[in-house]
Amino acid sequence: MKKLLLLSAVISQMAFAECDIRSASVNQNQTQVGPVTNLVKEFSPRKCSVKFQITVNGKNQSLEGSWSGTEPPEHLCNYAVEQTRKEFLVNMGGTFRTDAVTSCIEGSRPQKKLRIGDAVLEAEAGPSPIKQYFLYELTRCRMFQEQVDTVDKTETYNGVICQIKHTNYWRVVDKW
Amino acid sequence: MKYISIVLILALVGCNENQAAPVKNLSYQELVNFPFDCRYAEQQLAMLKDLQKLKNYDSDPDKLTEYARSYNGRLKASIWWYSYNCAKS
Repeated sequence: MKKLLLLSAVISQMAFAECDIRSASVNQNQTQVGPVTNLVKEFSPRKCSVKFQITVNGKNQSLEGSWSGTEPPEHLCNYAVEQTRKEFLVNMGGTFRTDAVTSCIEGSRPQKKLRIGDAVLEAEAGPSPIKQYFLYELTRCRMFQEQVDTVDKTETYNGVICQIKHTNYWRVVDKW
Repeated sequence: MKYISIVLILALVGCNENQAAPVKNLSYQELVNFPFDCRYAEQQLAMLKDLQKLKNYDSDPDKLTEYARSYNGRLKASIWWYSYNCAKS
């Protein structure tokens, strides 16, 4: 009986833990792989299908994939994106270095929007129409653009991220 | 007495000269038409940052009204403009 209670407690904790996968890839053969853009998610029972684009060496590639399981729909979509992207990159050849962070937050949904002060992987901050990198207080920075779908419209945010020295992380230093 | 009065007047005039010029509260349209010039980056940036202090908008864009968000966005974009356009070589 004790074991049963313990098991159910663990399962309930797992059920409430929301996880977020953050990753970015760099091809060490100098191929430039951009972030996921134009992500379209389609939910069906226990399945998420995704369509999105990534840029490889400046060329847009359209990819489609899906993931099935009993996890929350958002997780299924994250897995679908990751798996589709990985398969595509593997088929491209070359040596990729992928930086990935999985973070789980108990009891609340993972944070979607970038906030000033957040440390993120570069690919998590979408491209801005202003592409160039620049120096700000001796750190490498660039503008980013983030689009967030709300119930009735898509909100566009702009901002600046700067690389945290000697790491793969970038700090969101401003957003508007 | 005369000397004391003169010294006081001079001191007051001196204080006034040292006072910072009032911050120009630019309209949104004036911000749109702002004459960006890297040659005057220092002065222009100082002016825009003073304006930013004056406006004192919340750093979370979701907490702003639609107008404040537009103004704040234009102001912040204007301030960052110098970082990527006026890099010293």
